[in-house]
Amino acid sequence: MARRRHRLVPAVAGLAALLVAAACSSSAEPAERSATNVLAEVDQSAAVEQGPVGENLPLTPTVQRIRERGSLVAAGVLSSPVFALQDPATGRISGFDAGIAQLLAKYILGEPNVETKTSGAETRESLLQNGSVDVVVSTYSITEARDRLIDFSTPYYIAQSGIVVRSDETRIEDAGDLAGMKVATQPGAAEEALRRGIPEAEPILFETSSECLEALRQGRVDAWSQNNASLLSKIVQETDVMLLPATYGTVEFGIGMSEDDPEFKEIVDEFVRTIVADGTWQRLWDDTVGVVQDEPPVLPTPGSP
Amino acid sequence: MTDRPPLVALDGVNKYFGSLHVLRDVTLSVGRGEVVVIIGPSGSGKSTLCRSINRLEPIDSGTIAVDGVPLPAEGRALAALRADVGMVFQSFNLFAHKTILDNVTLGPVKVRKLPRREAEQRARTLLDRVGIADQAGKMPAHLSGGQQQRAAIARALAMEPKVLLFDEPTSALDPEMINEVLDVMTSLARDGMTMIVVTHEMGFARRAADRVLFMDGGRVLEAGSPQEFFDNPQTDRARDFLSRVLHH
Amino acid sequence: MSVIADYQDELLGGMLTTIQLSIVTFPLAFVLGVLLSVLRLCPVPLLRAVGTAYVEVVRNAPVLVLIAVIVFGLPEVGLTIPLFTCVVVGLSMYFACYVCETVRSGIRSVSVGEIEAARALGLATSAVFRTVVLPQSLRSMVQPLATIFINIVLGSALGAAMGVHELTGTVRSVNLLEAQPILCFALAGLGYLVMTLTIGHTAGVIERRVRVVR
Repeated sequence: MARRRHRLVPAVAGLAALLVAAACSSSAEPAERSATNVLAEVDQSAAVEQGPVGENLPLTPTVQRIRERGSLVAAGVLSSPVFALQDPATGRISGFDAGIAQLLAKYILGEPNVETKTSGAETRESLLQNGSVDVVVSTYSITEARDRLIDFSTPYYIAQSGIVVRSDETRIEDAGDLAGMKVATQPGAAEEALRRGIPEAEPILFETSSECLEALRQGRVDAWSQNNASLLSKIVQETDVMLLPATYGTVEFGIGMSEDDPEFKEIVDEFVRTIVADGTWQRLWDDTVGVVQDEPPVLPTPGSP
Repeated sequence: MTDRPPLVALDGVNKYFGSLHVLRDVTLSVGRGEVVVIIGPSGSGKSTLCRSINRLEPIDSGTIAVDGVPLPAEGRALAALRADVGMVFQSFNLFAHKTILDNVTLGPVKVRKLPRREAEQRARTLLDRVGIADQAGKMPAHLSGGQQQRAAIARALAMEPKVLLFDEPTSALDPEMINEVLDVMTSLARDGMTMIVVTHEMGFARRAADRVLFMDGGRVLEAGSPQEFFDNPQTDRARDFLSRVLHH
Repeated sequence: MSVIADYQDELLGGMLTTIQLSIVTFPLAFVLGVLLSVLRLCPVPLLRAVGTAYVEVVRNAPVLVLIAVIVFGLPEVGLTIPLFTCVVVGLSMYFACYVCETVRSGIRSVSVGEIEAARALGLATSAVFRTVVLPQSLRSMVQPLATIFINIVLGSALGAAMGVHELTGTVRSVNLLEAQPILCFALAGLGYLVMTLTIGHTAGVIERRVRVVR
């Protein structure tokens, strides 16, 4: 017994030291707190409250499955500010994508019951193909390569990539200047937009947007790029970095579905058209992305991708 | 003997293993060129005594001096002293990853800083002397026990030690190999090497020893010439011990 | 299959980065691990405690956390090193613990008698360690060390999360553009397999050559 304690003490002491170090490094960024406060205003629940319930929906296999289960299983992320960000304290997921998933659940079930399965960008198609999830709502860029494997809904969001640089940056004014530069970004939609939009830039990938911001501050990268709204949410009260007016690479996000149930795609398309038409979409935007972004949104044009 | 100090001098040496008193007030002096054989039942403390002389076993009280110099504590000085005190172990303890030749040259090269050529030359001479010159390039595991022990003796001799300690050098050997090792030891004794030998080989003691020590219970109970000891033991315990080892 | 042809340079580049990460990390982890094992075996209680504390702390922290502390923590104290170096340092610090424990058990496998024989020859403690203990224990450590090397290769994938575009990150990016997960990850698996099998095979050859017959 004494022997165990002997081994445990240094381990615990060391871990404590590590945690203190971690705490110190986060308290060294006072702005982090204010950004979190802004994000606390992101709340899609009112928009979901007024969301429509689909009438006389055909009982496609997917709809049946969802209704039997009583919830919509959606693949998504938990670390994308203003789109889908989980509050570790409450477990609540807030943001535009989180709202879309809840609205879709309500449209099918009458109740916004969503079960979120977190997934990386690399597994989304497989999760749909093998039926692990009903839909993917995850800043999922509509591309030709993916469209061959799965079905996309009509676009429900039009994203633009923005560029954040240090306040004293003089070399970078628009997207073209990023050629040959190190650009921090997150894996997934943001990385994809950067690789497609500015192939000459060198993407430096970090798992979270906080790490991207920190890497920019520390001079590890020249710029940081991802969708405009996410950038705004992180830097809204920062003084040492700034968002450039220039944007690039318009990208459309769609809801991903399996190809096995084409009738279900029609339901989801109808859902997107409905929420755009009845103002739910605008309300959702106002309460999520709109918290950080002043410019009015580009409304998706309901149609077929 | 001479007016020079004894080569090895133990005075009032005590040693405990926990509560076990393994050496009790041992006093002993070994002169230059003297061959002292220590015998006694197992657990009598004779191996511990042998190992304490180069401080492989530290002692708890008393003094041990080699060539007039008290045994230093751990460190460079102790290492220097050990270089002058050769040791041959029961289980040979050759370095398994080195050839026989490298086993013999290791000490001279690393400790005595002898040039490799010279060390090898001397090693070959010594291997020849112990009768295994043809085994120089082999790994220890490829030699018989008797050959390994002779290589170990050559390794100890290569340091040109002032005194050689033998800790039951034949106890791990098959009977047919014991003599080849004893023969080497006998010839060393004849050549004037100072030796302290812990052994059960009574024949060797009779033949080669200048003095026989009988130990039991951590004490030296008797010390005398082989004739005196074997023909006329003074203590009951020595008589008892001899009757058991000689008549079996 | 055109993915392979289209992204040949990127994939090879990613693989090269993985190889570089591993090849730089392993010797560093090895040296640090041996030093740690010396600390943990040394007779001075304070040094022993330092060695033990290091191993217990670092081994019980997730590697990614360790690398993150180096990437984002060190600049707070004015030390900004390149991301590649950060990942190398993090992996080295972490895997040094495993090297240390491997060395320790390897050293325990060296016969006490041989150590005594070396001391009896007059070798100083450090010389005993260098000429008898280390060479022998290294021989018994060839396979465990190869396993650590393999784990370093696989662990280097964490670089992808910290801005170092190695094999896993490259494959992930290619998949992002091409949506061919099975092909992409099979390619990555194959890449890792080639590297780890090479290590395993080399270790086998070395082990046969240096094996100590007892």
